[in-house]
Amino acid sequence: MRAFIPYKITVILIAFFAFISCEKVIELDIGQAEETVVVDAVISNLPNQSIIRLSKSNPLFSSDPYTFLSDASVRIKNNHGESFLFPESEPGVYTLDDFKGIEGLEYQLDIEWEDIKINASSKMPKTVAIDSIELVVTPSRFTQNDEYIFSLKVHFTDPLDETNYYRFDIFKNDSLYNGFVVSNDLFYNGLTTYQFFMNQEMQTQDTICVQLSCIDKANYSYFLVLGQLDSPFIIAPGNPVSNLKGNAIGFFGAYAQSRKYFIVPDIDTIL
Amino acid sequence: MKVSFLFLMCFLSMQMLFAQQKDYSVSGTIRDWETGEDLPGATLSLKNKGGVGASSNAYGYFSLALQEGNYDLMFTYIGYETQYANINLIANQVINIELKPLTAELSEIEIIGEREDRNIRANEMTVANVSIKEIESIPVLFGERDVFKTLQLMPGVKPASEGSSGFYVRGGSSDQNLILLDEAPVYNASHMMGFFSIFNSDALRDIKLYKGGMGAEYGGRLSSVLDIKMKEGNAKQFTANGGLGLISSRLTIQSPIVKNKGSFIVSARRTYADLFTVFSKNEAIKDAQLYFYDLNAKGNIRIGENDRVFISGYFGRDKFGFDERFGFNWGNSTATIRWNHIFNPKLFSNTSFIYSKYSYQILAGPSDRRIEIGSHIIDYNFKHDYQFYQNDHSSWKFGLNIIHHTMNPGDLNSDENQIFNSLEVEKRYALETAVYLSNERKISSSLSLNYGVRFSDFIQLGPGNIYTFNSFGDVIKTDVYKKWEKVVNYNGLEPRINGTWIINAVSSFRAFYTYSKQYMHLLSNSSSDSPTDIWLPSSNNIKPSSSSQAGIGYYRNFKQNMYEFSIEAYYKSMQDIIDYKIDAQVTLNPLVEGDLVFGKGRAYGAELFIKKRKGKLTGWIAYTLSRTERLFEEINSNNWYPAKQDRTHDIALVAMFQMSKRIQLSASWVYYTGNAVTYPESKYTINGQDILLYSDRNSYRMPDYHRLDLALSLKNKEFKTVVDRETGKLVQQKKRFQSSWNFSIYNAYNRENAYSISFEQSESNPDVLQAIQLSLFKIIPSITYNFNF
Repeated sequence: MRAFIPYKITVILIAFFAFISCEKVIELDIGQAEETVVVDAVISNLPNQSIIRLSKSNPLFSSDPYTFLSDASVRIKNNHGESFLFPESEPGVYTLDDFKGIEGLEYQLDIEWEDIKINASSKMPKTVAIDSIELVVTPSRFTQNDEYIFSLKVHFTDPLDETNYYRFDIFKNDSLYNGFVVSNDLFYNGLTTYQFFMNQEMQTQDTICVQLSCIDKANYSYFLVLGQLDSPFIIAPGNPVSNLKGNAIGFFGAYAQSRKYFIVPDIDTIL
Repeated sequence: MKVSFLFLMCFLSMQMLFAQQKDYSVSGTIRDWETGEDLPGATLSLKNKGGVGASSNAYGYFSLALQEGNYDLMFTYIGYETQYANINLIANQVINIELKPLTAELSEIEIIGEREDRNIRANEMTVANVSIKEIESIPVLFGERDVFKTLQLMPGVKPASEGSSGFYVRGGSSDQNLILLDEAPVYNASHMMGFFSIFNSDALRDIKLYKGGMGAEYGGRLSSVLDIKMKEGNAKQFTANGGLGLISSRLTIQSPIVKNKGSFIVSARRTYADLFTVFSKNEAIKDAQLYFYDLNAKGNIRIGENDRVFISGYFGRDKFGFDERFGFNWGNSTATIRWNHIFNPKLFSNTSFIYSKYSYQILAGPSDRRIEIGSHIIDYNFKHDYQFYQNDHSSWKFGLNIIHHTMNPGDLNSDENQIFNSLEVEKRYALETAVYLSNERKISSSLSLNYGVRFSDFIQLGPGNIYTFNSFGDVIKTDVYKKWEKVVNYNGLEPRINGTWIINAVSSFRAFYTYSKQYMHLLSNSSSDSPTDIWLPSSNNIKPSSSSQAGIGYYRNFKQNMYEFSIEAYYKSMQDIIDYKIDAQVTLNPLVEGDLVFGKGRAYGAELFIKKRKGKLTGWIAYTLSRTERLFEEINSNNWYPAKQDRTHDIALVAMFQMSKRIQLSASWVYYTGNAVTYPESKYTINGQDILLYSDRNSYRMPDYHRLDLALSLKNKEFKTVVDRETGKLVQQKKRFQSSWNFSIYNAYNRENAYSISFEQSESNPDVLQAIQLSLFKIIPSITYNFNF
């Protein structure tokens, strides 16, 4: 629903016609917070998509890359008594070849790094598959040249009998282009619906991957807050509630995922 | 408990009616000689006997009980010539007075006995009085004179954000202000996201803001009462006035219905901000619609000696449309029917029926997939108030107020191309009732007291599904209620007391204590007043909020009332106030009550005010030093944190210089230390994206804000030279058509004040974040042409 109220546009428009607003970079003397450990952990039902990343936070205006933490012990357990040790494949990145999560199971994450212990749990929901992806091409109303804007409609059918939470990620040529869009079925429970992504930067021959993850309520709440943080209009931004226990920030989620790929065709073939 | 209270009130009323001495009343109405408008707060005093007097009520009615005898009466009102009358009081007598406004020459001369020391004598605590004349002189944004913007120049009143007409009074939030337009409550008093207020100052007669110490006749909001009365309309002759400006134009027409007995006024205003978008080269912005309009209409008629009937209405709407695919409109409508009745010279009553509606509508999507989201709140209000002028040292106010609220927090209508279900968040209903009794009593010649109590009662009513939540926000119980079935009942006593001790002819001291309850709450999720904020009633999940405020003040006039000085200090504590959980879903959420947290607040401060009233140069300085904090278990680890509107220092300087008869210069300068704000302190990475890690709530401050506005008003020639028919000489005659030009500059030294600060990737180096400050307004000149005839 937030998408329907382009609040920022409205205010800027008012200032626009008065043609006097301006933006500028300023220096802020903001206190340095202590470093904290960050956990970015996803278990998936798709093979080789379960990845746990361990890093440290950086000072706000730093230009250094993030420090990833090696030599941690990362373990995943499920409620059938199975336990998996995830080895480090890249600095700070822990994955297990061929690991596949199973719908309906409860998973627990245990991390030990230096003297810090972190654990969390998440139950993997049932999968909801993407029905189809529709690419919508419309002439751009914002530029003078003959440019087109690409929009995506991700069609799926929501199950009626439960409350579902979704997270959408769009990858362009294997890197994350648009992530952290979350939705719940309050307005479309039981219906076939679509999620609309307007004005995505794409070019012919780009490989686009759309991933639909079914997530739990804690993850929905986490990413809902993350998605709002860049708006200057929140009354008082705050940090999302983490489902981790221990001296760390971040999240752990067991997601049931489905993906669809396509390659952006030549414009002439669509029009 | 309630029954015995009612008996107590009846008993007291009986007492009042029978405890009279052998005296007679002199009563009547005090009006403006030129227009016939009522003059509220005008004073009647006795020439020979100090310390005895009365003042007129909101309808210009006064009543003074005196013993048989001969008296020299004196009628005074600021800005008007004093009038004298001699009466021989041997029976009740009615005198209707018309006071003449002071002309420019006369206002420079001191007039002896004029009650300019009203600020010393009157037993009104912490009232900010702004005259319509001052509103018209002060330079404002886009040249639009505005009631709220002028009020924000008073101590203790802080604007919500740049250009916004929302306001905070003494640390309270913006839903804690009771805004009354001719007794009708107004839920959203701003246009265009808060850049303008809905009040067209051409139609207004009287504006009073109570910051604390409000009488028992007011209730329902914790922090302030903004009581706005519209003009009645010129009862003597037809007049029209208006203005043409860069952003908006307005026209007001007034006329008698029956000369001196009845009149009406119609006042309209429309902006045309969207005229400028036509110049844009951008297609989407070119088609944008952006305008608002206000229409105020009022009529009144006197029936016989003792009755007067009024009908008034207000209609206003903002419309914003962008592309055919998005539209947004919102507005208020109010209607009031009122009947004044004078039972006898000592008993005045007012009965009103009021309707008030605030609604908004969002339209989104192309026409084949249109979605409509709407929300509204409707009040039906019955008020019955009495004023009993017992004798020369005691008068009483008592009455009853019943409001029925209907709230529709949101409904979504989606057409047949169903990608969303149509959804209606259930309507909520409530009945808010209050009875009050207060007495204003002169205990001695220097001590007077205004004390009273209000008993308020709130019932949430069915029909509807009523949810009970656990602490995680999940529904644990749903109960179904039928129409008019009581869901929950809250009530309480709200005692009020304030006292004035007149130290001498030029100084006084005041103290007050006010306890208030608030049953209707505004849920707001953005930093400026959004038209989509929702009003919710107290319920099984939401307790009523309450506040206790106490304060003292010292008032002194200097140089024969040329300078007015006051210093006030207050302490306010608030209980059961509301905030959102960090992951709350506000829009269209039937379970939003599960996303709320409850806590308390406190505010304290001191306000200094110095005003120069007379002379070519007039104006004032207002300084407020204050603090306002909140405490919620779930926020900030249960520690007190500053509220967003906590601005330590707040200064306003206003000057008006009458350079000549036709030229007036004015300037206003404001300075305040920045809002409390939450900044990120470090960043981290999730899935390759930078995420900001925030500090404790509101632990930083925005940069200081200051701004200078200038205005020049040039009156065109008032008089024309004509040949007098009788004498054949040339004489000066006042022109029927008067006009003036107003030039103003907003933000004259072009300071880039911070509206918001956000953190974004640097364009040159995407790995680095930068703090970006958005300023809304740089220097803005504007011109308005005003006329009247």
